[in-house]
Amino acid sequence: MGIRAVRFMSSIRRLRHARPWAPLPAGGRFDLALFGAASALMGVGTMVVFSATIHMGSEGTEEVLHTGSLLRHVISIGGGAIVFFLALHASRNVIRWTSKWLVWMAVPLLLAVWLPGMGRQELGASRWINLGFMTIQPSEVAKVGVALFLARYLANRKSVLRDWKIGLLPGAGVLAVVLGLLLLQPDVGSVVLIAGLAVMMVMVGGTRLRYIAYLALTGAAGLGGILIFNRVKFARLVGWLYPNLTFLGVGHHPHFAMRLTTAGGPIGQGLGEGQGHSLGFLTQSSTDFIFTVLSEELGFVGVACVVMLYMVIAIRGFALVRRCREDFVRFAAFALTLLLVLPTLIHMMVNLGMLPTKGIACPFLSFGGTSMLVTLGTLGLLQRIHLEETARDAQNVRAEAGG
Amino acid sequence: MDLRGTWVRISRVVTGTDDTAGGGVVLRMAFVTAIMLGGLGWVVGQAGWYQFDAEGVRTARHLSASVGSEEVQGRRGEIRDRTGRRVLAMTVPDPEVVYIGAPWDVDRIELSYTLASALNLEPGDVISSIVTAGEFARIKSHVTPEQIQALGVMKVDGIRIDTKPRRFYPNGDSLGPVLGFVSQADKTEEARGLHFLGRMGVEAQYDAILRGEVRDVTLLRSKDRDGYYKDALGVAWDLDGADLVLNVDAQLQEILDGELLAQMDAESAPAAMGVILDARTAEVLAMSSLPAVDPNRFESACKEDKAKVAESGLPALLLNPCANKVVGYPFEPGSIGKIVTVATAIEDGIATLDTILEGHGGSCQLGGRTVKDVHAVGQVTLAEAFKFSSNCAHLDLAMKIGPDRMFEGLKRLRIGRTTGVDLPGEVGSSFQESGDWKKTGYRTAGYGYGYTATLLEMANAVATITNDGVRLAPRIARELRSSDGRLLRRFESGESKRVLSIATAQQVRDVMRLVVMDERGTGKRGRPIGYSAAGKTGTARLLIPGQGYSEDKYLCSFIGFAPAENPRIVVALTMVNPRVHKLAGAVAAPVFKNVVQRSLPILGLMPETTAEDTQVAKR
Repeated sequence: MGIRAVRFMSSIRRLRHARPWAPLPAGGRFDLALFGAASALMGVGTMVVFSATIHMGSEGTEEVLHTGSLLRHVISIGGGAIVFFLALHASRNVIRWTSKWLVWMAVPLLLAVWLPGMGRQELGASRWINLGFMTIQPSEVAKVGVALFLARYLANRKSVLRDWKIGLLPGAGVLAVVLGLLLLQPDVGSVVLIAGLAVMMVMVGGTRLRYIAYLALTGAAGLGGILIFNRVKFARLVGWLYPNLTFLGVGHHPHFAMRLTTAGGPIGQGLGEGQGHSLGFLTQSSTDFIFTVLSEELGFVGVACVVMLYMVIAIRGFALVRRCREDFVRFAAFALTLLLVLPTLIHMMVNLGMLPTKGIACPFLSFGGTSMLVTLGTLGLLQRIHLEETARDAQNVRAEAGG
Repeated sequence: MDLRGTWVRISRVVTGTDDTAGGGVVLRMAFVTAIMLGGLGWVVGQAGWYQFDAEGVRTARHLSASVGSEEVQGRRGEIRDRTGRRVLAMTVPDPEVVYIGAPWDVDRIELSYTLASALNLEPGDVISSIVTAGEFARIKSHVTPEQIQALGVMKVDGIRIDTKPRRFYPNGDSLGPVLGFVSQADKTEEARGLHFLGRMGVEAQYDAILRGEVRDVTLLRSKDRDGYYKDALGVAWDLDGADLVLNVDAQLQEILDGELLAQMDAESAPAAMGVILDARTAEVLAMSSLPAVDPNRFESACKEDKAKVAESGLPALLLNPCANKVVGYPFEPGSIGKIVTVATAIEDGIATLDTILEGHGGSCQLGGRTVKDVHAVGQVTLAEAFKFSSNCAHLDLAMKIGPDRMFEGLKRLRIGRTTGVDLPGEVGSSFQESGDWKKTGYRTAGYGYGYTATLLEMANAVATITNDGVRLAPRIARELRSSDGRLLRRFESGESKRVLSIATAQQVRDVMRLVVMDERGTGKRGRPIGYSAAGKTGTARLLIPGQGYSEDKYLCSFIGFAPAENPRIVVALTMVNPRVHKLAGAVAAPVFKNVVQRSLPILGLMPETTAEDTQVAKR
């Protein structure tokens, strides 16, 4: 038995004695601004998802309004609420255990997409595992796994981060496994997201900027390799640079995303009035291009409000980071905040043609079960941390006041 | 100024802590958060940049609704015969493979080879057309279903199957010159938005009704990215041309064609023409101009065969398979013109059937020429003279009538003045009372020379007589129906005009009856078994332009109606230059007989078998 396996088994044994269920800390406060922003986004998301899927009634059936997707979305939110509730009660032991092993648990899941009978191929990629009653997307699990792994890794190796051999290389090795598996699917969107997250985390962890530059160069080389060997990705790059070359078969999404966003105008065409998704200009309009649907139907007003809500999430995340006194918690809070904000930013920039097309769902807004569960789990963990930090602060205040 | 101190104070405010180790991390986190916020701000700015551009918004809203427009051409209407069931002309889809630009990463050369093998083309040609074309090239038209299937199996990129309309004439050359043909528009017509036009005959006459509309239809992108939704579903049906129902009966047409062709064969005649009119309404039941073109091959067949024309020594028009000679070839009618002479004489009260005419014993003088009769007569009644077709006696009758009334008589029946039939290319001679007319012209007109008439004009004159003297213009078109079968319009016969009295018409019919029913009549070989009939033979020497009258070439005509008592059809026919017999009584009358015998049962008139007929049959 390898040393890692032994440690894994012993950690499970320890977990058995630890309390996985922790009651809400006394004196802790909810971050109502964060919670409110997330709820508002989910409300808007539900409307836009309904609008984007209303036309999807299967041909030849009597169904006029397609409500199946809306129902699934609402069920996802319900499931997400349960995950949120569980995360809210996660004890620190559970969080630590998760931060250590979740990334390794994601590996078999990422491999399972290739299992015949279980993996589900769609749109030229194998990204899903079909469990019969639901479909899960392991890359979402991998994202949280990597975020928590990085938090723990950086907290543990804070002092040696400036030495790349023992500071960076082990972590890079772990990431290489996950990213390699994601590239096989292929899921470049998740790769870019996880790589971006890692670079930012390592940067805030306090490594040398030189290493960041090396990492960026490696990443650029990797992307170049992808472009050379993958015609689809190259076409996407060309299409992004020249969105009007649609007759060549490239640039379909940037072209229409920009055109449809423009069609929204200052106040939008109105919910359900958008033509892009109903006429099929955009595929994936309820997931990877939900922001385009939103900008077309709700216009600049909708865009500004939604972006402001995400800004609230980012600011509240940073405010939480300021409260934290423990390195691991601080890094975890920041990584989880980034997990909510970074994909949003990439999603929006792709939707506005500011980045080449890649499939990244928008947290809170996009249709997608696994994504919604993971997003709300993330939110739950952030709230848990907030509860604990505010409870400790309150205790300190009481202690000071009580003398 | 203490820069370092200021920075420490700022970082303390941002991080909320004095702990330098932890504070550094939080400061960098603040930096990353600021990048995130900046990025989100940039997103809002970019969205605003697009969405506050009023002009851009307008354009984008238009563009997102439509992806351009496409010209939609309505289907050209069918042409059917009077039963409404037999299709004479229809439009069938003709698939064509076009290249519309493959995705950028598709190997064009490979694509060309695939196409060439699927469509049985030269790879080099396909390569050159695809490589030079860029975004659009026609690869192959008239593609077979098997080839389309093969393309589908091969999943060829950048290829679209366009269906172009093609006109198809199921009956081939039957009625060909009458129906005309449809061909692609030339540049000036294309500029007017037309793509296909009827060029001759019915197709040209009713082109505007048949061809259907062309409309630019805005296209919307559909869910599956292969097809399009049109902005108004069902618009294509509104664009369809109307179906035209003709008065022509396909069965009668078949009979007329067949009998004429058989006689052409028997007499070695190079050409023939014929027409069947309804005796009461002047509806055109059949019209043949032989040799006839197959309109499915109009383009190649309509070229004049110069060598053949030179060899035959006949006017080129008579041998042109694309010309409708029935309306387009005026000729001197010869003896069938005597019908008009007799009708004029009786109508103007100059003669009765019993008036004695001078036959000069079969030879008389006119302007230094000698006129001869085949059947010589002396002094005979008008009825006898007509029965034996005496030229001298009718010359005598014409002198009795006089030039002015003779001219009026021809004009009244619109001889040489076009009938007003709904076909293009009707040629009238519009002869005038020249100086020559007053001296000798009107006299030759007495026996059918000195003026020209088309066969349809002669047939129409006889139809006027069978209709008790009321003239109606012959009609090809019967009614219009929409593509879903609704009656849109019924074509009326135009104005009816009484030009002869009922009594005159009756008397002319009586003399015409003699020609066929009398044992000694010139047209006795035209007597159908089981029916009575009336008619007139006419053997005219062929006038060749620039050469004068031909010595050995004749036009043998027969014009008649049946049954004699209550006429149902008028049949007029002409054999051009028969080589075996010379006289119309032998060449044309038997054709009339066969046509009548076979046509009347189809029109619901069963033959009456008399004892005499039975005996003839036994003999």
